[in-house]
Amino acid sequence: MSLDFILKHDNNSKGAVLLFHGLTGSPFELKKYGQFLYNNGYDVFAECLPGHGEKFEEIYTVKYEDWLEFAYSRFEKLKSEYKEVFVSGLCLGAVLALAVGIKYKNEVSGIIALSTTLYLDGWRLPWYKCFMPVALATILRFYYNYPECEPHGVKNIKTRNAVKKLLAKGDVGMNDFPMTGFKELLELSAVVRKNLQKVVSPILLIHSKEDDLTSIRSSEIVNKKISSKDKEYIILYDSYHMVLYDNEKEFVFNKAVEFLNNHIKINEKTEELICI
Amino acid sequence: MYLKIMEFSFLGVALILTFLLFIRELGVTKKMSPMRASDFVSSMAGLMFGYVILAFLLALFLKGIQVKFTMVLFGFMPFIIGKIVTYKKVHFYSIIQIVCIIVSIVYVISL
Repeated sequence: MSLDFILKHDNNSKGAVLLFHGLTGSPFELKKYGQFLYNNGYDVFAECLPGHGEKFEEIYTVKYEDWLEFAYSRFEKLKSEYKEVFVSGLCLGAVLALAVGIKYKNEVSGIIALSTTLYLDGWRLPWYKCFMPVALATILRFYYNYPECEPHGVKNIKTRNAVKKLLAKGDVGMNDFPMTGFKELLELSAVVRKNLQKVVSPILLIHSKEDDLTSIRSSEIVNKKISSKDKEYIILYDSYHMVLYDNEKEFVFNKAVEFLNNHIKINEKTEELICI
Repeated sequence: MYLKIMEFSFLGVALILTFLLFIRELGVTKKMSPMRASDFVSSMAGLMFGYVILAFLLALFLKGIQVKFTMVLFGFMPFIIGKIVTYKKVHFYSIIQIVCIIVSIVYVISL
């Protein structure tokens, strides 16, 4: 069952928003967010990342270069069709959004990075995470799947229970995190970290103070290193990792739309000035 | 004295690691709950870390260029195997890994 979605207006769309989901997730986790952006006048595109398709084994063979190639090709396709193309993502998706910003610089109208995962240092990870580098660099990475467990990245109990049921069905994402996926995510993060100064597009960073998978350090580094003059960094205090489903989701949705609208306006004003 | 302790620690860690890798190959972890399997593999990671550190320490303190070189090679072996292993050939490389550790045990005993 494909979970990809494209939400397109017949005409008069304000621009395109390319969405990337998180590690072991699927576009399903972006559905409500995408719908909200669509309702506010944007065309929204979300597809399954390589390795996250119907065959579970694919996550063991996918390389971070495959994710990059996928992200670049989708962005280029949209750029050929739209004047304004924004990129947004959650977790691994946020890292990919930054990677697109690094490569295409000013061509990206704006970046919305949610729960950016440059390090796996959240409070949910067990004490023995210090052995992770050894496990990732050796054959052990093929032996180990970190099981999805409480709190599933969600602070809101009702939503958490719903997520738990959906994950148990296995239709909307994987029930555990293969270490091979972690390895590729961390390698991609290292590449992005090295090149953060190349990000010049306007950016909205949102990260939860209590993120259970990746601490706020990741977003702080992005905020500090990027060259974007127009940047906004928001810290949430009542959510965990899955900010699009947690207690402050409406705030996140509204902030995202506010950011998109502001930057469409800025781009229009710049064009008017050029005409004058 | 310290060298003897290091040698015995290396042998102990390597033996337990071989045993865990072997029973994992027999499919024991498949019968475990996800959390228990996760703890099992984490202990292997801890032991692998200990194995590598002890191999490097022995390389540092043992005498003879050839011995030093061999111990460094044993220390790097898990990472070399980790670099070339693929999902499809994971069982084959698991056996290679077990054999390498057994060879290192025999080598340290023979010193």
